Amino acid sequence: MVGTIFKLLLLLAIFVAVIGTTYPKQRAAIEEEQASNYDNALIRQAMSTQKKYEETIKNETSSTDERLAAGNAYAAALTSQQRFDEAAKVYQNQLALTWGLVNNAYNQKWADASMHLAGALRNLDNQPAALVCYESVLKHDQQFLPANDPRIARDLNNMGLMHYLMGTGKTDAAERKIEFKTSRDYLEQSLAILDKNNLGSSAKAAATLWNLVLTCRDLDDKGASEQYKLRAQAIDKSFNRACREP
Amino acid sequence: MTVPSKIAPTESLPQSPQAPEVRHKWIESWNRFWFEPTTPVAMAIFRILFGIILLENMLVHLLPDFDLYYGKNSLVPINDMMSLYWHSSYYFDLMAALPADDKYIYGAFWVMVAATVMMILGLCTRVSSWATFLLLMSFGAHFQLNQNAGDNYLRLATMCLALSNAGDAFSLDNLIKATRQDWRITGFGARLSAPWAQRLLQIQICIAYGHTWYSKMEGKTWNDGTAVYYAVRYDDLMRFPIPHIFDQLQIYQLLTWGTLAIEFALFTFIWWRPARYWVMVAGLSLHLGIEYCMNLPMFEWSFMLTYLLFIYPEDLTRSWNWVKAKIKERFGEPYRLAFDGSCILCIRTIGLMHRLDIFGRIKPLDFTDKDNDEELKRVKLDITRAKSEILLQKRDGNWLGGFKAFRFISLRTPLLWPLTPVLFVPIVSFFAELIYKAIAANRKLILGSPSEVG
Repeated sequence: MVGTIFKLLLLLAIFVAVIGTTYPKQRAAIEEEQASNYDNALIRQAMSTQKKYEETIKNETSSTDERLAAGNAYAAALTSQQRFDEAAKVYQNQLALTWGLVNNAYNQKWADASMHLAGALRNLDNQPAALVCYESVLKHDQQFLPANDPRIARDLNNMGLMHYLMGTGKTDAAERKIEFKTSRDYLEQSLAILDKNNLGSSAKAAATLWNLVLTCRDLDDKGASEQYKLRAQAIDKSFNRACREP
Repeated sequence: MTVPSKIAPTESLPQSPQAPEVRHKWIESWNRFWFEPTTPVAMAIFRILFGIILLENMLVHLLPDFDLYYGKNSLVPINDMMSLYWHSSYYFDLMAALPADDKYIYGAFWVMVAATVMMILGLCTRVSSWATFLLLMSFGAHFQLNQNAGDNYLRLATMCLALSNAGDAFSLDNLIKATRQDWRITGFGARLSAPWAQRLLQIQICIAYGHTWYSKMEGKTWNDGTAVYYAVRYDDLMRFPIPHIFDQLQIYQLLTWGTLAIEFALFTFIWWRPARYWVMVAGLSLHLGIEYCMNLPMFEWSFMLTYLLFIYPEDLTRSWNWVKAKIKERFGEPYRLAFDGSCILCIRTIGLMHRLDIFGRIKPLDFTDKDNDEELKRVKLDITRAKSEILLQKRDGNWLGGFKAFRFISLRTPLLWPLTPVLFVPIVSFFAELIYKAIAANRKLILGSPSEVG
């Protein structure tokens, strides 16, 4: 009996010794993992930016710029976590915040907020709503900026891209073609403005050219698609980056 | 205990056992099931065969990919295993308690292999089986992604082995212990002991069958009879295909529902004595069928081996006696081995040889025992010669003595076969003969005679 009790105690001691030695290592490994885990880092970032955003909004003495910066940081953290609908709500608030800042003149902050909102809506796969945002920015820019301002080229490129994406979602061939044609018009206008600004070899031009490659290809205009492709590849090469074949 | 009642109406009623009596009966059955001393032979055979499966698992399945599983640069290093899989649970992992170096992990592995070999041989069985269990648990926790239900069963069965008296038979422990005993008093039978660890394992396998049966009963394909069709086509585990001729819905229904019926019987009817062996045969055919179609390393074999524990001890004895009778029929009567019963060393040596002689090819004959006088006269034993060396009678009636007799026995005793070739090396036999003679001449000085040692 004494022998059996001794053996049991010995076994218990082995268990206690091994688990007692490994448990601190286990806790340290868990803590280290929690600290370095990417998802956890994103959660922490979202929580801290949310806190700062809420505090800034509540603070009546905070400036518009401070509110915008806090909102942008929070929405960016939400976007990293793929919480696009929450990010879109933050950008909508930014839109309201910036709308009345400037009267009868160019409103850069409002344009930026609209572009951010359009991006969030695109992430939510809501192309028609994103198109409305991009279109309003385009109209605003065309109203208050010089006719050949590169920012208008940017807006035209965005419009072209939206129409292309909407076209790919159409099942009817005729409807699809209408969207692709509209897309091509916008993109070629964008490219023309960039050329006028001597930005025909810029990264922006490359992005527009690649969009044109796709649009022309889907419009069955293989020759134009190939021409745009060669030009886009040449720009990519000049930047020493691998050509992005769509 | 029944007390005669004086109340008339109850006297005419059938007598039912009183509550305390029923309770007593249940307690008695409970105690008999768990604790009635029984032979450890089944558990010992299980220990050896199961140990071989463990060894195969370690050397064939784990060792080739050891670094991938357990090395410092494994697929999931131990720190990630702890943080992502252990979470806050307590796990027994000896290697995690040691410094983080591959040499310790390799060391633990080879200790586990050595402990398993010792467990198979029955050397320090209790310690070696506990060491095997603890290390199996450690390796299971150290890398959990290569574990399946078979590994869980290996661990559970090893724990039951460690708790049991599986080392009391067919073991070096038992042989060593027996050399210190006089077999004429203790006999050759294994020490009886409470079989509760064996019962635990029996119940464990029934729980496994019960669980799998219940889970299958909830599945759609097991009810419509098509489950086996899909199971035998599971690419990852497929071994040999079912012959095309059997590729019929009715056959798959038979196999599917047959599986359910057999698994049900394996946790119910197996406890009913008249059905037990039939259920075991059905279970064996099920597992062999799975083994043919699916590659589930060691899983089927560890389950099939557990059936050994369901064989009744008397049937084990009867089966082995049948084997011995067949061998006797084929190779003739056992060889008479005359020895000096007044010499402790001779008694122990003969006892050891008799234990190693599992097929009963030797018949010990104590020439100092008066009961053997008649037989000794009949076989014409030279008593004077027998007093100086052990003697073995060959088929032609001649007697072989000393070392040569031992060598003759080794040829006919399978457990001594590893030693036999060495005994035929001329120089070895020359020195062995000399050593034998020296020991035989002083045999009573070494351990004395029975009366002297008490």
